[in-house]
Amino acid sequence: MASRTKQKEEARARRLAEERAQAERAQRQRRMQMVGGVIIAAIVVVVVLVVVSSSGSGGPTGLKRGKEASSTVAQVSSLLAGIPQSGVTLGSPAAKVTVTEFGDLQCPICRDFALGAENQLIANDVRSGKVKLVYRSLETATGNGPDPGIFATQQAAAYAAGLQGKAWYYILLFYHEQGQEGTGYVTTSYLNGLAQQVPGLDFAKWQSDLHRSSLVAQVNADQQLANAKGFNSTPTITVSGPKGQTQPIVGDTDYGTLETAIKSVA
Amino acid sequence: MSRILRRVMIGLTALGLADAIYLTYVHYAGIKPACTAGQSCLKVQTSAWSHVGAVPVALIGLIGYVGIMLSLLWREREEARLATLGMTLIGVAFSAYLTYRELFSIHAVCEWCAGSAVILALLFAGAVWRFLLGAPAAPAPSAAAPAATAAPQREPVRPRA
Repeated sequence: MASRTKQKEEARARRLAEERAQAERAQRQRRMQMVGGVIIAAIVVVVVLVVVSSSGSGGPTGLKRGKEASSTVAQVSSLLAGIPQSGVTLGSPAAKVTVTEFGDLQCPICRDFALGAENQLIANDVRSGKVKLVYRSLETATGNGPDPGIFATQQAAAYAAGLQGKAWYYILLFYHEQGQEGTGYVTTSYLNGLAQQVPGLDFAKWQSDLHRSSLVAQVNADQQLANAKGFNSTPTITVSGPKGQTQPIVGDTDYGTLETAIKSVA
Repeated sequence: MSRILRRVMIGLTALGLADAIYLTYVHYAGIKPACTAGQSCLKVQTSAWSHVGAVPVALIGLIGYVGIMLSLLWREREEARLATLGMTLIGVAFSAYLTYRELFSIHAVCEWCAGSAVILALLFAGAVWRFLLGAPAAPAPSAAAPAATAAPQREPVRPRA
């Protein structure tokens, strides 16, 4: 009788152990399925992010569209609103100090300068009427790209906007929407796209002005002036005022350096 | 151990969240990010890879950190640990891609982005560890166990007719 009870207990223990092992196996399998599902979902999400990131509107072509473009235009407009513009000069003609930028619109360091120290210079000193800012052309990055011949056209595109008092809109939008260096992103379509973003620009007139030989001549004259002064990199900044002219400042300088230079000649 | 790990991960996520909030603010305010490496941060922040479609990467990071934080603050259960693991895996993989772009396409490293990449790598390692720790193996059954667990039961008392 005792032996029979013991056999029953052993059989019950075996059954329970087997059930527990089965439950553990099922739980392990469930965990593996969940982990597998999470890994697959993560891979899908990352692939989508990478594909959209590398082929979306923010791709290496530079030109922004939709809300992004509106946001950039609003940013540039808010910086320039109310500041007088004439040709390639931004600021009051009566300003005592003149800051001249020799730049190449495809140069990434010029872009960094424009979005950094130059932005502060415009917001503070140009807006207050203390400084006027002049843009001149000097070929650097574009010359190293796949289509160096586009240099005169792209710079003239900004000068053509200058004929309508909007050169600095074009210059700053170009810098804000610069594409990847060396990819040949500057095309007629790119230049037209930028012009269409400039608030209040008469696009038909701009297109017609773009072919004026005087604008290309102006780009060439800037280049010759830079060569005569021995400038060979961009941006090169000159600061002049009633007390004379400072040594040229080369590269992406900071606002403090510009301020010191302005004070020394004002 | 699991509790300490969770607290450390919450701390790291708070740091990452602060980083992402700052970068998102810089993006929408249109200002230059503070950067010890010259203009590197600005270059990365304004590069072609700073957006996914129309959404800035900084905002995606912010949403990701909020998700990770919520999964960590959720009560201790396997689904929560798995959610943390999945989100940190996405974060670490995408930030690895962005770091590759910084090094080989933009040729500039943004310290805020690099910091976030390191935080995500640590969070991912922590999430894997926490997932493994959080599922201890059930105690091995012993011969005495069934007898011990089988509490003596009385037959229910049947009402007499």
